[in-house]
Amino acid sequence: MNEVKFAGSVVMVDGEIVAKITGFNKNSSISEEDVTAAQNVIPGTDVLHSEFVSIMVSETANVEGIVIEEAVGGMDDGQSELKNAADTGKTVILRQTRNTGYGYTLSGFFTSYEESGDVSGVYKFKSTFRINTKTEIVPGS
Amino acid sequence: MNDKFKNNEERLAYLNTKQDEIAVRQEGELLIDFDKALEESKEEQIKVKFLNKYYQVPTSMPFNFSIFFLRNCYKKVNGKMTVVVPDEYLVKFITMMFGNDFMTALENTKDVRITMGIVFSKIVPAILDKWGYNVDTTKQKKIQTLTQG
Repeated sequence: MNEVKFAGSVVMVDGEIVAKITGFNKNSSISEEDVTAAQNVIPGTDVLHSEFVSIMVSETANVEGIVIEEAVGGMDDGQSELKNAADTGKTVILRQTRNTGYGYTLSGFFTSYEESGDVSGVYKFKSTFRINTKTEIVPGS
Repeated sequence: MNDKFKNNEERLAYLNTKQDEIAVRQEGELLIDFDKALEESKEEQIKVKFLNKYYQVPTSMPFNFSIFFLRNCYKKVNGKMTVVVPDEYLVKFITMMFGNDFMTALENTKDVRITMGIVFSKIVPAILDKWGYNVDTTKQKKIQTLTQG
């Protein structure tokens, strides 16, 4: 699948922007069910031609970007604001917009998450995001 | 959450700044600076005394001379690698090897002992020898058999 370029895509937790998305690659998979029956017989033979129907669409996205470091204090272990959400399976919002201003608000959670830090104040992260709901963003609306 | 930001605009501005910092850093990591290596490499010079003046020549054949030399002056003649300096490149050859001052000195000298033969049979082969090209000067003028050193 082609990578899509984004202008101002962000990740939000509890209504606050915590990360900026620098790379986004969305994947879809469709579950199917075998509904082959007697009427699927190939004429003149005893062989059935299989028939499947789609029953479920699943979407995930490979997301990478930079995330704000959590405020230092108390028992803080230096992780990011997003890792807390990822570690607990919390629902987060991914606001994904293209240069045109159009895009999607995606709601879901991280199924995998890793981060590394080499610039003070932010971490780099790579993740897989399970998309549960998708709402269109229309500029000016 | 990090309380140093008042709103989402500040958070986004901060992330944009950090993204730029990362881009600059990555650009630096992708740069291989050979100029630093050149600074560390202090090339010594050969001193050439000629007509009571000193001229400096690199101890190794400079890249620009190599390209000129291999393109125009280093050819296979009768199955042997030979230095042949075409007439139109004589001045350029001497200038590239010794510099403009040396060429000017040659042009202005009234010393009748200074001939093309002296330059190409004595001086040029000595430098080429230093640069790894052993020139046999027993052949005719301007055409010398070589064995690469």
